[in-house]
Amino acid sequence: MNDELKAKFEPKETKVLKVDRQLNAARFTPCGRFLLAAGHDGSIRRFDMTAAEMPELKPLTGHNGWVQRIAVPASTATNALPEVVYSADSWGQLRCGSFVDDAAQPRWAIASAHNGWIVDIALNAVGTLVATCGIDRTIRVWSATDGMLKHEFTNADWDVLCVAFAPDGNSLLAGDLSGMIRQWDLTSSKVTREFNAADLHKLDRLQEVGGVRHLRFSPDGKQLICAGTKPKNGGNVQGMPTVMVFNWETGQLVKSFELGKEGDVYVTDLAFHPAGFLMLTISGNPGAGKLVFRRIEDEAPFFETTKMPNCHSVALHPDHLRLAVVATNGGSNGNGRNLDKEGKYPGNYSPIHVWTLPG
Amino acid sequence: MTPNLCKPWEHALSRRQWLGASVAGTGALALGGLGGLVSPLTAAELNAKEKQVLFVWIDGGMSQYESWDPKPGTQFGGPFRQIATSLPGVNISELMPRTATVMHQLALVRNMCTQDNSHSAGVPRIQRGDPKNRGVTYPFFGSAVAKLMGPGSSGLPPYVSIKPGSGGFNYQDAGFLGPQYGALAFGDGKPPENLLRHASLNEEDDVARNELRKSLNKRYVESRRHENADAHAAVYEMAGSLMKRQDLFDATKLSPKDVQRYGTHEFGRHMLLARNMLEAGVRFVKVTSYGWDTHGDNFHGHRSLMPRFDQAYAAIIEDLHERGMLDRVLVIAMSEFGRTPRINGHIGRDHWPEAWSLALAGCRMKRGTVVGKTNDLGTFVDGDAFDIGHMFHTWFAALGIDSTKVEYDNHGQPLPIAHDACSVVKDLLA
Repeated sequence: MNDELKAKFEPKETKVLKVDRQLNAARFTPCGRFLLAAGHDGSIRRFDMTAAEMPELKPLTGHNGWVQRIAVPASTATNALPEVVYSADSWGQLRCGSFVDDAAQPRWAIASAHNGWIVDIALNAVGTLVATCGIDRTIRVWSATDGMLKHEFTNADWDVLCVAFAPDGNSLLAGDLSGMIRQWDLTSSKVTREFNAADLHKLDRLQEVGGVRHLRFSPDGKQLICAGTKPKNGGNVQGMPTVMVFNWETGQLVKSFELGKEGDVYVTDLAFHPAGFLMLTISGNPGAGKLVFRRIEDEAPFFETTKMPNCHSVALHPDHLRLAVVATNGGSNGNGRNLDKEGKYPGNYSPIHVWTLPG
Repeated sequence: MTPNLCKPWEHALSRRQWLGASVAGTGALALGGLGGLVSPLTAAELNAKEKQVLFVWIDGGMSQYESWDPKPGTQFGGPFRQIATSLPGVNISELMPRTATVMHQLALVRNMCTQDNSHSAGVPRIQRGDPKNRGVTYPFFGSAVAKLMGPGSSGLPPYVSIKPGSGGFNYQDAGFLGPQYGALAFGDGKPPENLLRHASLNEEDDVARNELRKSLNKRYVESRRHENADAHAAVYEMAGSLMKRQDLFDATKLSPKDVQRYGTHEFGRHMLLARNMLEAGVRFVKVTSYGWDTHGDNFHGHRSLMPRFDQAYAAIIEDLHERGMLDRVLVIAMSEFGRTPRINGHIGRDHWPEAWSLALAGCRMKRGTVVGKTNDLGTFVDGDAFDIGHMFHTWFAALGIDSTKVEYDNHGQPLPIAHDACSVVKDLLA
């Protein structure tokens, strides 16, 4: 345990935002005025971060199925459209629209950006390109400005689960279900490198389990981080939440670490704090959830909390003082007919826990 | 003798080990027709007189939302879309594009409501038809068919099970009927080990050994209860019949095109073997797929599982139809229950017997029909619901067995063959 880091960055939970449905991901807007959260009802929830109560505003609509991922340009993205969110749903739609005006028409929308579930979305550093990947085993790169298709990579053997732009913006990375990470040169459209993260995959009978679920770069651009689970079995998936770190220059695996026990299962989201440590959320067996702070070079996290069940997303406010964690209500599972006090069949929901970091 | 070859007695022991489980229980021998091999019957010959069953057991619980009863865009609908099928107005999950093309051959039941939400109790309860408790253990459907219809004229075992993992003889399936009605299980679709007569044992000696065994058995039975000896003899007969049909397990004889159509994965290989078993005349073939208990990561799980199920299931429906076999082969695809509408924190679905689906085809099943429905959210059955007893009555009817008249005789105790409070679902029958 790094006590110095803990003293400096240990967060405290200050508020819980109630949401009546389940959510997949949350992100703060670069201006810091809004918290956006996307989920199972096809909407993007908005919360006003300028008010102490953080009231929920009218949601952004227009999607179908689940909104799986949302992305907003970084505050440093010099060529990005202002005040827009990019969002992708499980029926294949990709949208770019205002996060300020819920009544505004989208800047652009592509109803069939993919044939089915878009599982990840990423923006390049300057905010001009948006990459998507879907269960149609295709990766596409679009103009972030007008939605024009710029690049397409497809292969029936690549069941791609996540994408990320390299720091220099010249290449794209995609991680797949088999644990392979490929780097495409955006000029030649050719695969130039592969990174092996096969520890994150297992074939269990008929089921391909795990895969590379997330790709990130360290703030200095020298490390490629991938995350998921080291699977033990399919069905009721069990496995160790795992992070693998590659040296970007050499392509060598330099570190791999686990963040719990088998029932903790997946790293569900991760982000770098400007101070250089990772903030990760973990979700496993119903009730098992974690928020973890850890430096890659350390041997253990310096902060960890298990008080939030099944955490699915983490987002750091641009002020670096607030953190939002999408979790799940307690008692979310159970076999058979479990009715509520009114005799109705209840759904689950995703409280958003707002944490404050020391100033 | 070559030193590294097994000895004849080791060979015999191995066969006994494979079959040994069958003598763990008691019962009477009734495996007529197993003794000799008959030539493979033509499809036309079988068509005329012999009904068969393919029972596809999806162990753990396939999600009805991600398969037969999608509710896209609703609270519990999950991320996937629905697609149109060859049956106008009927949609299924987008994860089943091949099955969608054979939907006009199927009879879909969307209003199953059963009694048990645990695997340990639910699996046998469902496969035994969940009869009223009369103090006896009822047989699985496969054992019931083996008893009521016999092995047929193929000379092959009446009830075989193709499953992942190990094989053996599942005498427990037979319940009070006695062990000889259990399932002969082919682990990973392979024949029992050491099935063939060892090279060091010539045919003449083998016949002599078997005659000696029969003679000793006969003498043993004269002063004792006969059930164990009878069951022991039955499994030798079963082994004898299989020894003559090794070709059924020869992967080199499979059409490469069929291998690709069914899929090279475990389930595809097992379904293709099942087709061969049915063509050879086996009365009841059960194919089990494990790994469907998706309490965690249900959607990525079904995204991986369903296409493989879809591929092999649609292929066998096509093949049975094209070979003219669908008129006499009853195809049942089901789990012990469905999965919860509610999506838990592990993004999984739990066990849900309240409202789920199963798919039927062939024999007397009405082609291109959907029976029952769930409410808009898929949480509960909307209208009449069916229990597994209704299905047992209906399946027996499709096989030409009148479940209101035929009874089991359990040592003088008459027992109904299906739950007496349930009845045939006439809408399912042509």
